[in-house]
Amino acid sequence: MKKLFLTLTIAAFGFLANAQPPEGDAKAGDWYGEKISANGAIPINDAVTKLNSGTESVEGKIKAKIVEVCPKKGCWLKLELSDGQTATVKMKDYGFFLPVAATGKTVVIDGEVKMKTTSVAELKHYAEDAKKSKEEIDAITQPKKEVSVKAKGIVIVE
Amino acid sequence: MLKWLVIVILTTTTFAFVSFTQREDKISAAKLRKLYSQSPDKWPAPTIDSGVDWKELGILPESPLEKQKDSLKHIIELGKILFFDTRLSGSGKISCATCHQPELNWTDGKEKSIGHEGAVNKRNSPTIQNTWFYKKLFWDGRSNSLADQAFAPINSETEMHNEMHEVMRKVSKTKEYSELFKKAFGDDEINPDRLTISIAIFEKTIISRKSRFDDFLAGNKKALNNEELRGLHLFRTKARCMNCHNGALFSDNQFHNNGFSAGDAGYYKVSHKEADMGKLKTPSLRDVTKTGPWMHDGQQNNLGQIISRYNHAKFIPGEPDKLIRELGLMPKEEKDLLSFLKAISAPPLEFKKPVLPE
Repeated sequence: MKKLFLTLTIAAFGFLANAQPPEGDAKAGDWYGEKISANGAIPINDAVTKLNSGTESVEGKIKAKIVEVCPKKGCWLKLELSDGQTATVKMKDYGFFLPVAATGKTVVIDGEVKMKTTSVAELKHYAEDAKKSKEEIDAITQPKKEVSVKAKGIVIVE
Repeated sequence: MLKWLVIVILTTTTFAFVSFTQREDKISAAKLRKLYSQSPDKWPAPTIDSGVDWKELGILPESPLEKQKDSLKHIIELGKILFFDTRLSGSGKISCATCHQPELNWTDGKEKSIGHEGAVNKRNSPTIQNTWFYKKLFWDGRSNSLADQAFAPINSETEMHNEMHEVMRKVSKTKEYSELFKKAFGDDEINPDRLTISIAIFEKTIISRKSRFDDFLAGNKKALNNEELRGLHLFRTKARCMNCHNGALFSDNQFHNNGFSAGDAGYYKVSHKEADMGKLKTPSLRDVTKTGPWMHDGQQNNLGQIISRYNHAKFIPGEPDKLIRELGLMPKEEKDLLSFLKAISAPPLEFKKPVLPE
Protein backbone atom coordinates (compact mmCIF):
# COMPACT_ATOMS: atom_id res chain seq x y z
CA MET A 1 0.00 0.00 0.00
CA LYS A 2 2.79 2.34 1.00
CA LYS A 3 4.64 1.42 -2.16
CA LEU A 4 1.60 2.12 -4.33
CA PHE A 5 1.14 5.48 -2.66
CA LEU A 6 4.77 6.40 -3.31
CA THR A 7 4.59 5.28 -6.91
CA LEU A 8 1.53 7.44 -7.41
CA THR A 9 3.15 10.41 -5.69
CA ILE A 10 6.23 10.11 -7.84
CA ALA A 11 4.19 9.61 -11.00
CA ALA A 12 2.19 12.71 -10.13
CA PHE A 13 5.38 14.75 -10.31
CA GLY A 14 5.94 13.51 -13.82
CA PHE A 15 9.13 11.68 -12.99
CA LEU A 16 8.26 8.42 -14.64
CA ALA A 17 6.99 9.59 -17.98
CA ASN A 18 10.23 11.10 -19.18
CA ALA A 19 12.69 8.24 -19.02
CA GLN A 20 12.07 6.91 -22.49
CA PRO A 21 13.78 7.10 -25.88
CA PRO A 22 12.91 10.07 -28.11
CA GLU A 23 9.94 9.68 -30.43
CA GLY A 24 10.41 9.60 -34.18
CA ASP A 25 10.38 7.35 -37.23
CA ALA A 26 14.14 7.49 -37.93
CA LYS A 27 13.57 8.24 -41.62
CA ALA A 28 16.44 8.43 -44.11
CA GLY A 29 18.24 11.74 -43.55
CA ASP A 30 17.24 12.10 -39.87
CA TRP A 31 20.28 12.95 -37.73
CA TYR A 32 21.27 12.85 -34.09
CA GLY A 33 24.10 14.56 -32.17
CA GLU A 34 26.45 16.39 -34.56
CA LYS A 35 24.85 16.98 -37.94
CA ILE A 36 26.88 14.90 -40.39
CA SER A 37 26.62 13.78 -44.02
CA ALA A 38 26.69 10.13 -45.02
CA ASN A 39 29.58 10.75 -47.44
CA GLY A 40 32.96 9.11 -47.00
CA ALA A 41 31.96 6.30 -44.65
CA ILE A 42 33.70 2.91 -44.60
CA PRO A 43 31.84 -0.32 -43.76
CA ILE A 44 32.18 -1.14 -40.04
CA ASN A 45 33.74 -4.50 -40.89
CA ASP A 46 36.66 -2.70 -42.55
CA ALA A 47 37.26 -0.81 -39.32
CA VAL A 48 37.13 -4.08 -37.36
CA THR A 49 39.71 -5.62 -39.73
CA LYS A 50 42.02 -2.69 -38.97
CA LEU A 51 41.54 -3.19 -35.22
CA ASN A 52 42.26 -6.92 -35.55
CA SER A 53 45.50 -6.13 -37.35
CA GLY A 54 46.71 -4.03 -34.42
CA THR A 55 45.37 -0.52 -35.03
CA GLU A 56 44.41 0.93 -31.65
CA SER A 57 41.45 2.98 -32.81
CA VAL A 58 39.76 4.00 -36.04
CA GLU A 59 38.41 7.52 -36.19
CA GLY A 60 35.97 8.77 -38.82
CA LYS A 61 32.75 7.62 -40.40
CA ILE A 62 31.52 4.06 -40.46
CA LYS A 63 28.45 2.52 -42.05
CA ALA A 64 26.52 -0.23 -40.28
CA LYS A 65 23.11 -1.73 -39.59
CA ILE A 66 21.47 -1.22 -36.19
CA VAL A 67 20.16 -4.47 -34.69
CA GLU A 68 19.09 -3.14 -31.29
CA VAL A 69 18.37 0.20 -29.58
CA CYS A 70 18.33 0.65 -25.79
CA PRO A 71 14.61 0.26 -25.10
CA LYS A 72 14.67 2.42 -21.97
CA LYS A 73 16.40 5.59 -23.10
CA GLY A 74 17.81 5.12 -26.59
CA CYS A 75 21.27 5.64 -25.09
CA TRP A 76 23.07 2.69 -26.68
CA LEU A 77 22.88 0.74 -29.95
CA LYS A 78 24.08 -2.63 -31.18
CA LEU A 79 25.47 -2.87 -34.71
CA GLU A 80 25.64 -5.96 -36.91
CA LEU A 81 29.12 -7.36 -37.61
CA SER A 82 30.04 -9.87 -40.32
CA ASP A 83 31.33 -12.43 -37.79
CA GLY A 84 27.92 -12.76 -36.17
CA GLN A 85 28.92 -10.59 -33.18
CA THR A 86 27.66 -7.11 -32.47
CA ALA A 87 29.40 -3.80 -31.77
CA THR A 88 28.12 -1.54 -28.98
CA VAL A 89 27.63 2.16 -29.64
CA LYS A 90 27.60 4.76 -26.87
CA MET A 91 27.01 8.44 -27.48
CA LYS A 92 29.81 10.93 -26.78
CA ASP A 93 29.20 12.78 -23.48
CA TYR A 94 25.94 10.80 -23.22
CA GLY A 95 24.78 13.73 -25.30
CA PHE A 96 22.01 12.37 -27.53
CA PHE A 97 19.63 9.45 -27.99
CA LEU A 98 18.00 7.47 -30.80
CA PRO A 99 14.38 6.41 -31.18
CA VAL A 100 13.65 2.68 -31.01
CA ALA A 101 12.38 3.01 -34.60
CA ALA A 102 16.03 3.14 -35.68
CA THR A 103 16.22 -0.64 -35.14
CA GLY A 104 16.96 -2.34 -38.47
CA LYS A 105 18.07 0.89 -40.16
CA THR A 106 21.41 1.38 -41.88
CA VAL A 107 23.27 4.37 -40.47
CA VAL A 108 26.49 6.31 -40.84
CA ILE A 109 28.19 7.08 -37.56
CA ASP A 110 30.93 9.64 -37.07
CA GLY A 111 33.09 8.72 -34.12
CA GLU A 112 35.77 6.39 -32.86
CA VAL A 113 35.88 2.59 -33.08
CA LYS A 114 37.93 0.61 -30.56
CA MET A 115 38.36 -2.93 -29.31
CA LYS A 116 37.30 -3.13 -25.70
CA THR A 117 38.77 -5.98 -23.70
CA THR A 118 37.32 -7.18 -20.41
CA SER A 119 39.91 -9.18 -18.46
CA VAL A 120 39.28 -12.67 -17.05
CA ALA A 121 39.52 -11.26 -13.51
CA GLU A 122 36.86 -8.62 -14.23
CA LEU A 123 34.61 -11.18 -15.93
CA LYS A 124 34.87 -13.48 -12.91
CA HIS A 125 34.16 -10.55 -10.64
CA TYR A 126 30.97 -9.71 -12.56
CA ALA A 127 29.92 -13.38 -12.54
CA GLU A 128 30.38 -13.50 -8.77
CA ASP A 129 28.29 -10.38 -8.34
CA ALA A 130 25.62 -11.90 -10.56
CA LYS A 131 25.64 -14.89 -8.19
CA LYS A 132 26.65 -17.39 -10.87
CA SER A 133 27.57 -20.92 -9.81
CA LYS A 134 31.21 -21.88 -9.11
CA GLU A 135 31.29 -24.01 -12.28
CA GLU A 136 30.17 -21.09 -14.41
CA ILE A 137 32.78 -18.82 -12.83
CA ASP A 138 35.54 -21.38 -13.30
CA ALA A 139 34.56 -21.77 -16.94
CA ILE A 140 35.71 -18.19 -17.61
CA THR A 141 39.21 -18.49 -19.05
CA GLN A 142 39.24 -16.09 -21.98
CA PRO A 143 39.09 -12.30 -21.91
CA LYS A 144 36.03 -10.88 -23.66
CA LYS A 145 36.68 -8.72 -26.71
CA GLU A 146 34.02 -6.38 -27.96
CA VAL A 147 33.99 -3.72 -30.66
CA SER A 148 32.87 -0.44 -29.14
CA VAL A 149 31.96 2.78 -30.90
CA LYS A 150 31.86 6.25 -29.38
CA ALA A 151 29.50 8.27 -31.59
CA LYS A 152 29.61 12.06 -32.11
CA GLY A 153 26.90 12.10 -34.74
CA ILE A 154 24.60 9.62 -36.49
CA VAL A 155 22.61 9.92 -39.70
CA ILE A 156 20.03 7.43 -40.97
CA VAL A 157 20.87 6.22 -44.49
CA GLU A 158 18.02 3.81 -45.25
CA MET B 1 35.45 90.09 -24.35
CA LEU B 2 33.34 87.75 -26.44
CA LYS B 3 35.55 84.88 -25.31
CA TRP B 4 34.80 85.67 -21.64
CA LEU B 5 31.10 85.93 -22.34
CA VAL B 6 31.07 82.49 -23.92
CA ILE B 7 32.95 81.02 -20.96
CA VAL B 8 30.54 82.60 -18.48
CA ILE B 9 27.47 81.38 -20.38
CA LEU B 10 28.88 77.88 -20.72
CA THR B 11 29.77 77.67 -17.04
CA THR B 12 26.35 78.88 -15.98
CA THR B 13 24.47 76.50 -18.24
CA THR B 14 26.66 73.59 -17.17
CA PHE B 15 26.05 74.43 -13.52
CA ALA B 16 22.34 74.81 -14.10
CA PHE B 17 22.24 71.51 -16.00
CA VAL B 18 24.16 69.63 -13.32
CA SER B 19 21.98 70.93 -10.51
CA PHE B 20 18.88 70.25 -12.57
CA THR B 21 19.85 66.63 -13.26
CA GLN B 22 20.81 66.19 -9.64
CA ARG B 23 17.47 67.47 -8.51
CA GLU B 24 15.80 65.36 -11.16
CA ASP B 25 17.67 62.42 -9.72
CA LYS B 26 16.47 63.13 -6.21
CA ILE B 27 12.90 63.51 -7.36
CA SER B 28 12.98 60.29 -9.29
CA ALA B 29 14.50 58.44 -6.34
CA ALA B 30 11.59 59.45 -4.13
CA LYS B 31 9.13 58.84 -6.92
CA LEU B 32 10.63 55.46 -7.75
CA ARG B 33 10.44 54.40 -4.14
CA LYS B 34 6.80 55.39 -4.06
CA LEU B 35 6.02 53.58 -7.31
CA TYR B 36 7.84 50.40 -6.35
CA SER B 37 6.45 50.38 -2.82
CA GLN B 38 3.12 49.45 -4.35
CA SER B 39 2.29 45.84 -5.13
CA PRO B 40 4.02 44.61 -8.32
CA ASP B 41 0.80 44.71 -10.37
CA LYS B 42 0.85 48.50 -9.95
CA TRP B 43 4.50 48.93 -10.94
CA PRO B 44 5.35 50.86 -14.13
CA ALA B 45 4.88 48.73 -17.25
CA PRO B 46 8.10 46.93 -18.19
CA THR B 47 9.78 47.39 -21.56
CA ILE B 48 8.91 44.16 -23.33
CA ASP B 49 8.81 43.52 -27.07
CA SER B 50 5.51 42.50 -28.59
CA GLY B 51 5.04 38.75 -28.74
CA VAL B 52 7.22 38.08 -25.70
CA ASP B 53 5.50 35.96 -23.08
CA TRP B 54 6.48 37.37 -19.68
CA LYS B 55 5.66 37.32 -15.99
CA GLU B 56 6.21 40.03 -13.38
CA LEU B 57 9.14 39.67 -10.98
CA GLY B 58 8.13 38.27 -7.62
CA ILE B 59 9.00 36.79 -4.29
CA LEU B 60 11.14 33.64 -4.20
CA PRO B 61 8.82 30.62 -4.51
CA GLU B 62 9.20 27.67 -2.16
CA SER B 63 10.04 24.21 -3.44
CA PRO B 64 7.00 22.59 -5.11
CA LEU B 65 7.65 19.62 -2.79
CA GLU B 66 7.47 21.77 0.35
CA LYS B 67 4.13 20.30 1.40
CA GLN B 68 5.15 16.72 0.54
CA LYS B 69 8.51 16.94 2.31
CA ASP B 70 7.23 14.82 5.15
CA SER B 71 5.73 12.02 3.07
CA LEU B 72 8.80 12.03 0.81
CA LYS B 73 11.38 12.37 3.57
CA HIS B 74 12.97 8.93 3.10
CA ILE B 75 13.33 9.44 -0.65
CA ILE B 76 14.78 12.91 -0.07
CA GLU B 77 17.24 11.46 2.44
CA LEU B 78 18.27 8.70 0.02
CA GLY B 79 18.65 11.20 -2.85
CA LYS B 80 20.76 13.47 -0.66
CA ILE B 81 23.13 10.62 0.24
CA LEU B 82 23.41 9.50 -3.39
CA PHE B 83 24.07 13.10 -4.46
CA PHE B 84 27.15 13.22 -2.24
CA ASP B 85 28.34 9.65 -2.81
CA THR B 86 31.49 9.27 -4.92
CA ARG B 87 30.58 5.57 -5.42
CA LEU B 88 28.50 6.77 -8.34
CA SER B 89 31.63 7.58 -10.36
CA GLY B 90 33.97 5.22 -12.15
CA SER B 91 37.02 6.48 -10.24
CA GLY B 92 35.18 6.57 -6.90
CA LYS B 93 36.33 10.17 -6.52
CA ILE B 94 33.52 12.23 -8.07
CA SER B 95 29.98 12.80 -6.84
CA CYS B 96 27.20 15.10 -8.07
CA ALA B 97 28.33 17.48 -5.31
CA THR B 98 31.80 17.77 -6.86
CA CYS B 99 30.36 20.19 -9.41
CA HIS B 100 27.38 21.35 -7.32
CA GLN B 101 28.85 22.36 -3.97
CA PRO B 102 26.39 23.59 -1.34
CA GLU B 103 28.80 26.22 0.01
CA LEU B 104 29.28 27.71 -3.48
CA ASN B 105 25.54 28.18 -4.04
CA TRP B 106 25.60 24.66 -5.50
CA THR B 107 28.04 25.46 -8.34
CA ASP B 108 31.75 24.67 -8.52
CA GLY B 109 33.07 28.17 -9.16
CA LYS B 110 35.00 26.94 -12.19
CA GLU B 111 34.78 28.02 -15.84
CA LYS B 112 34.07 24.45 -16.82
CA SER B 113 33.75 21.49 -14.53
CA ILE B 114 36.64 19.10 -14.09
CA GLY B 115 35.54 15.50 -14.47
CA HIS B 116 37.12 12.05 -14.71
CA GLU B 117 40.91 12.16 -14.35
CA GLY B 118 41.02 15.91 -14.84
CA ALA B 119 38.93 15.98 -18.03
CA VAL B 120 37.69 19.51 -18.73
CA ASN B 121 34.01 19.45 -19.54
CA LYS B 122 32.16 21.26 -22.28
CA ARG B 123 30.12 23.75 -20.31
CA ASN B 124 29.83 25.61 -17.01
CA SER B 125 28.19 23.79 -14.10
CA PRO B 126 24.92 25.55 -13.24
CA THR B 127 23.51 25.84 -9.73
CA ILE B 128 20.85 23.32 -8.68
CA GLN B 129 19.06 25.98 -6.61
CA ASN B 130 15.45 26.38 -7.85
CA THR B 131 16.21 23.90 -10.61
CA TRP B 132 12.75 22.36 -10.12
CA PHE B 133 11.54 25.29 -12.20
CA TYR B 134 13.14 24.36 -15.53
CA LYS B 135 11.08 22.49 -18.09
CA LYS B 136 14.21 21.37 -19.88
CA LEU B 137 17.55 20.58 -18.33
CA PHE B 138 21.11 21.30 -19.48
CA TRP B 139 22.21 24.50 -21.19
CA ASP B 140 20.98 23.03 -24.49
CA GLY B 141 17.72 21.63 -23.08
CA ARG B 142 18.39 18.05 -24.15
CA SER B 143 16.72 16.52 -21.11
CA ASN B 144 13.07 16.75 -20.10
CA SER B 145 13.32 15.90 -16.43
CA LEU B 146 15.77 16.00 -13.55
CA ALA B 147 15.63 12.22 -13.17
CA ASP B 148 16.50 11.79 -16.83
CA GLN B 149 19.23 14.42 -16.54
CA ALA B 150 20.92 12.50 -13.71
CA PHE B 151 21.78 9.62 -16.07
CA ALA B 152 24.05 11.83 -18.17
CA PRO B 153 26.82 12.88 -15.76
CA ILE B 154 27.00 9.33 -14.37
CA ASN B 155 27.44 7.87 -17.86
CA SER B 156 29.44 10.63 -19.56
CA GLU B 157 33.05 9.57 -20.10
CA THR B 158 34.36 13.04 -19.18
CA GLU B 159 32.20 13.50 -16.09
CA MET B 160 31.69 10.62 -13.65
CA HIS B 161 32.78 8.05 -16.21
CA ASN B 162 30.65 5.17 -15.10
CA GLU B 163 28.08 2.72 -16.43
CA MET B 164 24.68 2.26 -14.82
CA HIS B 165 25.19 -1.49 -14.27
CA GLU B 166 28.45 -0.70 -12.45
CA VAL B 167 26.66 1.86 -10.27
CA MET B 168 23.98 -0.72 -9.48
CA ARG B 169 26.67 -3.24 -8.58
CA LYS B 170 28.49 -0.87 -6.21
CA VAL B 171 25.34 0.50 -4.59
CA SER B 172 23.78 -2.97 -4.17
CA LYS B 173 26.94 -4.21 -2.44
CA THR B 174 26.56 -1.50 0.22
CA LYS B 175 24.37 -2.91 2.96
CA GLU B 176 23.22 0.46 4.22
CA TYR B 177 21.73 1.25 0.83
CA SER B 178 19.33 -1.72 0.85
CA GLU B 179 17.99 -0.31 4.11
CA LEU B 180 17.73 3.19 2.64
CA PHE B 181 16.00 2.00 -0.55
CA LYS B 182 13.62 -0.08 1.54
CA LYS B 183 12.71 2.90 3.68
CA ALA B 184 12.24 5.06 0.59
CA PHE B 185 10.35 2.68 -1.71
CA GLY B 186 8.90 -0.05 0.50
CA ASP B 187 11.27 -2.80 -0.68
CA ASP B 188 15.01 -3.01 -1.18
CA GLU B 189 15.05 -3.28 -4.98
CA ILE B 190 17.79 -1.03 -6.33
CA ASN B 191 17.38 0.05 -9.94
CA PRO B 192 18.46 3.01 -12.10
CA ASP B 193 15.01 4.64 -12.09
CA ARG B 194 14.76 4.60 -8.30
CA LEU B 195 18.29 5.96 -8.01
CA THR B 196 17.76 8.87 -10.39
CA ILE B 197 14.27 9.69 -9.12
CA SER B 198 15.63 9.93 -5.57
CA ILE B 199 18.38 12.30 -6.69
CA ALA B 200 15.83 14.36 -8.65
CA ILE B 201 13.44 14.63 -5.72
CA PHE B 202 16.29 15.70 -3.45
CA GLU B 203 17.36 18.34 -5.99
CA LYS B 204 13.82 19.69 -6.17
CA THR B 205 14.04 20.61 -2.48
CA ILE B 206 17.06 22.90 -2.99
CA ILE B 207 16.12 26.56 -3.33
CA SER B 208 17.78 29.95 -2.81
CA ARG B 209 17.90 31.89 0.42
CA LYS B 210 15.57 34.89 0.32
CA SER B 211 17.36 38.00 -0.89
CA ARG B 212 16.98 41.68 0.05
CA PHE B 213 14.70 42.02 -2.97
CA ASP B 214 12.34 39.45 -1.41
CA ASP B 215 12.51 41.35 1.84
CA PHE B 216 11.55 44.51 -0.08
CA LEU B 217 8.63 42.74 -1.78
CA ALA B 218 7.48 41.38 1.58
CA GLY B 219 7.02 44.95 2.78
CA ASN B 220 10.36 46.12 4.16
CA LYS B 221 10.63 49.20 1.96
CA LYS B 222 14.08 50.06 3.31
CA ALA B 223 15.54 46.76 2.13
CA LEU B 224 16.69 48.34 -1.15
CA ASN B 225 18.72 51.55 -1.34
CA ASN B 226 18.23 54.18 -4.07
CA GLU B 227 20.87 52.72 -6.33
CA GLU B 228 19.27 49.26 -6.16
CA LEU B 229 15.82 50.71 -6.74
CA ARG B 230 17.05 52.52 -9.84
CA GLY B 231 18.64 49.23 -10.86
CA LEU B 232 15.30 47.45 -10.44
CA HIS B 233 13.56 50.08 -12.56
CA LEU B 234 16.25 49.94 -15.26
CA PHE B 235 16.15 46.13 -15.18
CA ARG B 236 12.43 46.27 -15.95
CA THR B 237 12.56 49.14 -18.47
CA LYS B 238 15.49 50.73 -20.32
CA ALA B 239 17.88 47.79 -19.93
CA ARG B 240 15.26 45.41 -21.42
CA CYS B 241 16.40 42.55 -19.15
CA MET B 242 12.84 41.34 -18.57
CA ASN B 243 12.48 40.27 -22.19
CA CYS B 244 14.22 37.08 -21.04
CA HIS B 245 14.86 37.33 -17.30
CA ASN B 246 11.32 37.65 -15.97
CA GLY B 247 9.12 36.02 -13.34
CA ALA B 248 9.95 35.28 -9.71
CA LEU B 249 13.05 33.35 -10.74
CA PHE B 250 14.25 35.82 -13.38
CA SER B 251 14.09 33.30 -16.24
CA ASP B 252 11.52 32.80 -18.99
CA ASN B 253 12.32 29.05 -19.15
CA GLN B 254 13.14 29.53 -22.84
CA PHE B 255 16.19 29.40 -25.11
CA HIS B 256 17.89 32.43 -26.64
CA ASN B 257 21.02 33.31 -28.54
CA ASN B 258 22.47 36.18 -26.50
CA GLY B 259 25.54 36.47 -28.74
CA PHE B 260 27.79 34.69 -26.26
CA SER B 261 27.22 31.16 -27.56
CA ALA B 262 30.74 31.06 -29.05
CA GLY B 263 30.07 28.37 -31.63
CA ASP B 264 27.97 26.17 -29.34
CA ALA B 265 25.00 24.96 -31.43
CA GLY B 266 22.91 24.73 -28.23
CA TYR B 267 19.21 24.02 -28.60
CA TYR B 268 19.63 23.47 -32.37
CA LYS B 269 20.96 19.99 -31.64
CA VAL B 270 17.72 19.19 -29.84
CA SER B 271 15.15 20.90 -32.07
CA HIS B 272 17.04 20.53 -35.39
CA LYS B 273 15.63 23.94 -36.43
CA GLU B 274 18.05 26.43 -37.98
CA ALA B 275 16.38 29.25 -36.02
CA ASP B 276 17.56 27.65 -32.77
CA MET B 277 21.25 27.71 -33.69
CA GLY B 278 23.28 29.02 -30.74
CA LYS B 279 20.31 29.23 -28.40
CA LEU B 280 20.96 28.34 -24.78
CA LYS B 281 18.72 28.19 -21.73
CA THR B 282 17.93 31.47 -19.95
CA PRO B 283 19.47 30.95 -16.52
CA SER B 284 17.78 32.30 -13.42
CA LEU B 285 19.48 35.45 -12.14
CA ARG B 286 18.79 34.60 -8.52
CA ASP B 287 22.14 34.59 -6.64
CA VAL B 288 23.86 35.59 -9.88
CA THR B 289 26.69 37.45 -8.14
CA LYS B 290 27.52 34.19 -6.33
CA THR B 291 27.47 31.83 -9.30
CA GLY B 292 30.28 33.07 -11.52
CA PRO B 293 32.12 32.70 -13.79
CA TRP B 294 29.20 33.23 -16.12
CA MET B 295 27.60 32.08 -19.36
CA HIS B 296 27.39 28.49 -20.61
CA ASP B 297 31.15 28.28 -21.06
CA GLY B 298 32.21 30.25 -17.99
CA GLN B 299 34.20 32.60 -20.19
CA GLN B 300 32.86 35.78 -18.57
CA ASN B 301 34.36 36.48 -15.16
CA ASN B 302 33.19 40.06 -14.60
CA LEU B 303 29.50 40.75 -14.14
CA GLY B 304 29.93 44.50 -14.65
CA GLN B 305 31.56 43.80 -17.99
CA ILE B 306 28.69 41.54 -19.04
CA ILE B 307 26.25 44.40 -18.36
CA SER B 308 28.50 46.69 -20.40
CA ARG B 309 28.52 44.25 -23.26
CA TYR B 310 24.75 43.96 -23.28
CA ASN B 311 24.65 47.78 -23.21
CA HIS B 312 26.88 48.16 -26.27
CA ALA B 313 25.78 45.62 -28.84
CA LYS B 314 29.12 46.06 -30.63
CA PHE B 315 30.88 44.40 -27.70
CA ILE B 316 28.75 41.27 -27.97
CA PRO B 317 30.97 38.71 -29.66
CA GLY B 318 28.36 36.86 -31.76
CA GLU B 319 25.11 37.63 -33.54
CA PRO B 320 22.36 37.66 -30.92
CA ASP B 321 18.56 37.40 -31.17
CA LYS B 322 16.73 40.58 -32.08
CA LEU B 323 15.70 40.97 -28.43
CA ILE B 324 19.24 42.11 -27.70
CA ARG B 325 20.08 45.61 -28.90
CA GLU B 326 22.00 48.80 -28.13
CA LEU B 327 20.66 50.09 -24.79
CA GLY B 328 22.24 53.53 -24.39
CA LEU B 329 22.75 53.14 -20.63
CA MET B 330 24.97 55.70 -18.87
CA PRO B 331 27.93 54.26 -16.91
CA LYS B 332 26.06 55.13 -13.71
CA GLU B 333 23.04 53.17 -14.89
CA GLU B 334 25.22 50.14 -15.55
CA LYS B 335 26.37 50.42 -11.93
CA ASP B 336 22.78 50.65 -10.71
CA LEU B 337 21.95 47.44 -12.56
CA LEU B 338 24.88 45.67 -10.96
CA SER B 339 23.69 46.88 -7.54
CA PHE B 340 20.28 45.40 -8.24
CA LEU B 341 21.84 42.06 -9.20
CA LYS B 342 23.59 42.10 -5.81
CA ALA B 343 20.24 42.70 -4.14
CA ILE B 344 18.76 39.56 -5.74
CA SER B 345 21.72 37.45 -4.60
CA ALA B 346 22.16 35.79 -1.23
CA PRO B 347 24.44 33.20 0.34
CA PRO B 348 23.14 29.63 0.14
CA LEU B 349 20.79 28.33 2.82
CA GLU B 350 22.52 26.37 5.54
CA PHE B 351 22.94 22.77 4.55
CA LYS B 352 24.16 19.78 6.51
CA LYS B 353 26.00 17.27 4.36
CA PRO B 354 24.85 13.68 4.87
CA VAL B 355 26.90 10.93 6.47
CA LEU B 356 27.75 8.47 3.70
CA PRO B 357 27.43 4.67 3.96
CA GLU B 358 30.71 2.93 4.86
